[in-house]
Amino acid sequence: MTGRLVKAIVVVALVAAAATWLGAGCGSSGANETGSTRTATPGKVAGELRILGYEDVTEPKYIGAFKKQYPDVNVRISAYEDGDDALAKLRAGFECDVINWCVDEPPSRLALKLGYLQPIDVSRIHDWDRIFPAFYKLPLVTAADGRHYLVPTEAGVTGIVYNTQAVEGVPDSWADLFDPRYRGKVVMMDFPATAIQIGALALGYSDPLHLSDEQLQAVEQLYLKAKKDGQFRTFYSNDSEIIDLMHSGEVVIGVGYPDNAARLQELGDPIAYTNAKESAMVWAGGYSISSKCKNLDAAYALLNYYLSPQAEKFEAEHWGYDVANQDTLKIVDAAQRKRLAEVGAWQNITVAGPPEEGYDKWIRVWQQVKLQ
Amino acid sequence: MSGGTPVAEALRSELSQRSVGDIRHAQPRPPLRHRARKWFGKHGGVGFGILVIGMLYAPLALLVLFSFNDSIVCSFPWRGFTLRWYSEAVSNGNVLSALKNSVLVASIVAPVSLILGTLAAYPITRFHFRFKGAVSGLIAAPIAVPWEITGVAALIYFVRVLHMSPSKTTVILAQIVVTIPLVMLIMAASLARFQRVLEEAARDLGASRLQVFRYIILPHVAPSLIASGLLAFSWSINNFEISFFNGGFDLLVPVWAYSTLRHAINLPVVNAVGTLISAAEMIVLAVAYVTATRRAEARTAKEKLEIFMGEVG
Amino acid sequence: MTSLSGDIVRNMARRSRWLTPLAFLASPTAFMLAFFAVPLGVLVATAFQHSSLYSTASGFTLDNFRTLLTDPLYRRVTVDTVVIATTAMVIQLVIALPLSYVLAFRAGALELPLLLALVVVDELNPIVRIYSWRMLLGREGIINDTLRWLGIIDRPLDWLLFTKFSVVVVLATSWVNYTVLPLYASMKAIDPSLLDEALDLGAGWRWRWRSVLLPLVTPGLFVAVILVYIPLFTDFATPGLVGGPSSYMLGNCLADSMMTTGDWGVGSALALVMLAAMGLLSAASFFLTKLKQIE
Repeated sequence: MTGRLVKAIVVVALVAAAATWLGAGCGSSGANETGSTRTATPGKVAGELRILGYEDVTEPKYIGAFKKQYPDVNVRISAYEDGDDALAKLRAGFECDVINWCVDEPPSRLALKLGYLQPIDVSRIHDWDRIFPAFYKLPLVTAADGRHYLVPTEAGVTGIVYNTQAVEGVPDSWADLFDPRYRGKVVMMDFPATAIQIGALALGYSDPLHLSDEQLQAVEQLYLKAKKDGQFRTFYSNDSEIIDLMHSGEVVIGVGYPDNAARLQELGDPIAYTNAKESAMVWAGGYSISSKCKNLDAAYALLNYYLSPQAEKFEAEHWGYDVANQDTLKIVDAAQRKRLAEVGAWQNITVAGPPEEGYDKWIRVWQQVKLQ
Repeated sequence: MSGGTPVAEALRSELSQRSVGDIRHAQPRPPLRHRARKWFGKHGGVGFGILVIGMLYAPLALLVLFSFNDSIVCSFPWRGFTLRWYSEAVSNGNVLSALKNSVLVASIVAPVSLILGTLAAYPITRFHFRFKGAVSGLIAAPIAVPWEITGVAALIYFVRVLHMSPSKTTVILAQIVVTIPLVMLIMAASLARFQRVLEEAARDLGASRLQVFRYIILPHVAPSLIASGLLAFSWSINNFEISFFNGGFDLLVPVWAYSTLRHAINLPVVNAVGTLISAAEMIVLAVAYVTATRRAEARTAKEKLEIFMGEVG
Repeated sequence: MTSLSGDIVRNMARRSRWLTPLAFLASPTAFMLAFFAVPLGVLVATAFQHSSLYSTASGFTLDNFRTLLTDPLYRRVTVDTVVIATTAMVIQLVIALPLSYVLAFRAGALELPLLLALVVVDELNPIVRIYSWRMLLGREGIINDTLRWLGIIDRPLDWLLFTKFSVVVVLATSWVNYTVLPLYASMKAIDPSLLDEALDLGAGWRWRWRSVLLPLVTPGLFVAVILVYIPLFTDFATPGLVGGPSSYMLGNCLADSMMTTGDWGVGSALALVMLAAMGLLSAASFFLTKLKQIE
């Protein structure tokens, strides 16, 4: 009897001890920071900087120069895969200083509505005036109240990726994705904001972000009929997927980015990219400052860094993105310059994103499409 | 040895009424197909087992193979053998810190849940007491809750109620919540049917519960114990949902992997890291196996009881 | 030597005081109470509240449950998921039962290494699953290529991948290690001489299985189903990756309500319903199997 009790007590004690030790470790890893939001010495940027963003934000080659410039800043990253996941974390009470995401993602819009972001003092952003003018009109960059909640650093267009040998001519219309000639060899993005918008443009609606209920119904019917005819091989949510599908020949045409075609060309595949004539759908990403930010000096330092031509150059060359800072064109080679200059030519941008109102109806439609 | 289920009783009484020799002599030599079936039954079993396990490994094996392929797509034709994905992986600070954190977390989660889960399984299969249903229900419940929900609910609890910042600690605690029922259920399956008469005989002869556990139960459930521990370890390293929601600013491998796959060029690096992790698990597996076989000799519980009885006198 | 008789059984009953189980259960129960009971409470509370990103309603409500019961989306998704998950579960058992039998009784020295090798079958990230399965099941995949080479088919089979078939196949093979483990664990507790005696008496494998083995592994079967059925139900990565355009299961529904629509009220209600269903099912099957055995 004593043996049992002793054993049980020992185990409970061990667990309690472990919990206490872990709890102490937790305390030292930055829990319950009560430091002031300003650093002690004005002008000296130091302390912890907590980022919620994609993992590549702290890729060594991307952020290396920042760390060298500000060695006293402890950059910490909480990585996410999908903006929706990040928003769920924020909603549950997660706190951070800087958030990296895209303006075409629903969660960034919602975060603004829910008060998780604070306005950015653009006078503290050195290169703010050097940004391509087209970016200023984007949601979050300039919100409805006229203030700025995001510093854009990267962008791109969404268009049509296709196999030049399997597809006749240049399929430059969204309607080509519904062409029966390509039955069973089309891939669509598994993302309601993009899919519904494309469907609306394919039906010829001029204002895809303001659809009436009848128009939304029509888009739903378009997709349901296409599915019944076996038009789509699958819906994808990841760059690697579309590259794999096109490379292996499972699909010959689909929604994608110029970078997808570039990678496939590197592999020797006859794949090309084209913008759709109905409209070039633009996505853009950047950095916001959280309303609970505890280190504003470091946050602004980071935003300035990411917007600087050096950092932008890395994004353009390594990931094939378009950049926001016009000065970047001065330090890249001729081929990149030509590509990046296209941003200046963007006229009527349709942001590849959710509508301001009624996105839950779009989500519902897409659920129905996937269910049938 | 008496006792056991009615079926066992029936078989034994059958046997006691005849001798095995009688039965064998009573039958003529079995035809070839019976002999073949018996041989196949003896050796085919292991072959079948290896074949099935091999087939289950096939998707994983393909990924390991392509982690050495000089291409960002997992597709034939083969483009050449390369180790660059591995060198990219080990020279990436994010990967190394993620690996370190994940292994640390798993190394705490696995033993704690193994101990607590087994502690819970034993009384549930041995005793009857009030609230047994409620307690076993509470401990087993996390199995039925989807991980993303447990993750979010736990995050809300940690941040808003306990005022803790998400960190490795919260990940460890939340993961243990889910792995305890895992271990408990597997160990309960192992302990439920064990011939308790051996236990009770030993108890009657004066053995303490600790001695009973060490000499009679432990050798028999050792494989299940080791397997559950390994399962909890592997689960902890690979689990995304709990790690994501309860993780703070320390990178963990599955979170890193999901996030880095945003770029297609990172696919082979993820495969390389996955292979490294599988290799690490194989090493842990080998260590566990060697430890287990060295300590456990091939004795049945019966023989141990006899030895023990001899010692007690 | 004390003879083993009914006295032992009576002593066993007398020893079952509450102190002994308490000593064992104290730490696990305390841990669960500390770190699961409250999150569970949060879950229950959220299920009864309006909590959506796209609506401004707030406060107590039963609407979440009403939505689950009346919305045809949930009905349809549940039916689909039950069919797919049950098929996958059955296939898993068909694979796992012989496999665990082999491991428990026939593997000899290879028993532990094979078991442990099985336990660690799991890739790092479900996303990469799609690539290996595409190589196996795709239009230019190994199976299609082999069938065409053998002349059995002219054109590749489309339905091997990106259909409900591939979802079932991938689900059935992804969780086998969780199914085998409890089955193996309960088989180990069986005295192998029992089976050998049956063999010597001339019993065929069918009789041995049905009348001897199956009743004795019921606890393992029970645990295997509890462990795996719910993850099969709530898996959202597999249908999303290999399910093709018709890939909407309960797991996707749940993930959508937690992330995309942010309707935590409905998501929590769904989780509670599944928890309750699982509880009822396990209680029912527990009592059913208990009645079958006369201990």
